[in-house]
Amino acid sequence: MGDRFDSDRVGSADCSSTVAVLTPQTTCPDFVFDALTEERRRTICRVLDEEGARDLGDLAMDVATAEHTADGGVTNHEWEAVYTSLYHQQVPKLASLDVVAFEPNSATVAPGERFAAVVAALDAVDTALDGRLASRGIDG
Amino acid sequence: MDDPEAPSERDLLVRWRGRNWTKAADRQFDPAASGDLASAIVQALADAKRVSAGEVTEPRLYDCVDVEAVAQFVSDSRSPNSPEPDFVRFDYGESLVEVRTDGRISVFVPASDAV
Repeated sequence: MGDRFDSDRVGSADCSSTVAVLTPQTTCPDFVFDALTEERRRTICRVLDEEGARDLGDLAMDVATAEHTADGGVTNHEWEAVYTSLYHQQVPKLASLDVVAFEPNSATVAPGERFAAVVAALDAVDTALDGRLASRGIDG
Repeated sequence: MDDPEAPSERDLLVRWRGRNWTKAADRQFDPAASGDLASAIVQALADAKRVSAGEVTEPRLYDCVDVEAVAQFVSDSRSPNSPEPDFVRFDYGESLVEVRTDGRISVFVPASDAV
């Protein structure tokens, strides 16, 4: 705890050399890339950025809807598969990186300590790619 | 004689870490059709317990295995010419989960617990 240069389970040794050539307040960026590797996690960050804290079931519906913009509706089966993936994999992953906070009793997912940095990176990528990724966002 | 497509008696019982395990459920994972590996594994665990996937809550799969690494392993090792599929096995609670490179997901329970 408290080591802002360490990205949790990722070895920090590789980062220290990189950090040396960056500005002093720059943290090791591994957690950003870890958080954003999978499209579902990018969608989760987008939704939380726009909606704030979200019930996990609603969040699963948001993600499923984003993935099914082409064919219209989301079946109950599709929603359940996304919910399962979020509950067992994507949300714990983001929570382990402190990007989101999960409250199990209320099943609420909220932006975490490092959320802003991840969204800023997502925005920067969208800008760099001239909005081509943004077109795959939650609004289709 | 080791045709992986033909379920045999031997597939139903495995010895792993000094214990005998009985197969309680299996399902075929097809990345193109059924999406992500994590939800397919949880569905197999739910099948083994005769419950719905939503009732499989503890532990979280994330705390048991690096699913992304397993998915990478499956997609990298997928070879139609390979005579015998490779596999990864990990504990989920009291169960043993096996994910094969041909996409077969199996859930085993300790043999003594099997009915």
